[in-house]
Amino acid sequence: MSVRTKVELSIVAAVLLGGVLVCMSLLRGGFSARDEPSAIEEFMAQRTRRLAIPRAARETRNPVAPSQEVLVDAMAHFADHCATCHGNDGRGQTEIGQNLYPKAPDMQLATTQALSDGEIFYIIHNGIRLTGMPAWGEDPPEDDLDSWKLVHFIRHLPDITPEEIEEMKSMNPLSRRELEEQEEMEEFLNGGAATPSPSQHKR
Amino acid sequence: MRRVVLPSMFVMLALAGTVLAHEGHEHKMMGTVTAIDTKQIVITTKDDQKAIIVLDSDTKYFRGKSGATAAEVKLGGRVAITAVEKDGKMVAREVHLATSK
Repeated sequence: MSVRTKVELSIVAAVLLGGVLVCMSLLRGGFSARDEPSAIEEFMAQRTRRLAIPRAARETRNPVAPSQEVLVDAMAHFADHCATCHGNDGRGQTEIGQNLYPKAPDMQLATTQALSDGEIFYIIHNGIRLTGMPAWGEDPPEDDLDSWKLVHFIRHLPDITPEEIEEMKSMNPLSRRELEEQEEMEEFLNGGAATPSPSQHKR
Repeated sequence: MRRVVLPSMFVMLALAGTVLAHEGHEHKMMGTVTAIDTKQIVITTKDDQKAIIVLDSDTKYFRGKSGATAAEVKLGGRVAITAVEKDGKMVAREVHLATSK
């Protein structure tokens, strides 16, 4: 048997073994979203995502000039549309964000901040298949200025203040039950006679 | 043989997904502080139940809409805590203090 044949057989054996392991993993864990993606899955997904974004889109510059007004506008937009999964601080520490597969990323970290403005815009506008990220852009990309404003806000996330996070809470969509809980909490903290239970399930 | 084993081991290691602790649902608790240190807070709810909640570096403190610090939490003070289940313990994500000190 030649060296080349041995190498080819090794590759085939490794691929087959990998397939068997994936099948075993799926059979053992079903399609549960509880697990973390493996290192290779994460690597492959990130590389594929990068390759899937056209170079022109990656290199597109943000057409919206940064300003305080833009940031305030984007903050309200983020609180209303994105925070349910990503959290107001973008760290993904939410009930939904932590139970997705893959989990919502910590957007304050380099994995997000190192992306170009064009890449972040492309992801917001088009979403990412097989993840919880939907495509938000309805307009042609050149008209989707709201998503470009969000790019500015995502760049601001590493410096977000507790005061901004608290302000965003009033912009988060709340259910009737959550509104009642909020009122009950404020009443209790201000010395009222709310009757708290030791552990109220939020949902 | 080594040519088969080494790639196989790489694939096995790479595909071995790590199962991490699953964070559970959020819980809201309100009560009076009976003990606090850097690692945990103990509260007594109005119906006299004791709740122990872990504090960590991700715990955020608020007084009204403003940020606060752990040092502002006082024994006997009222708090409202949002916590998540982690490794069988309740871990505080947010601790809200009364607006007036």
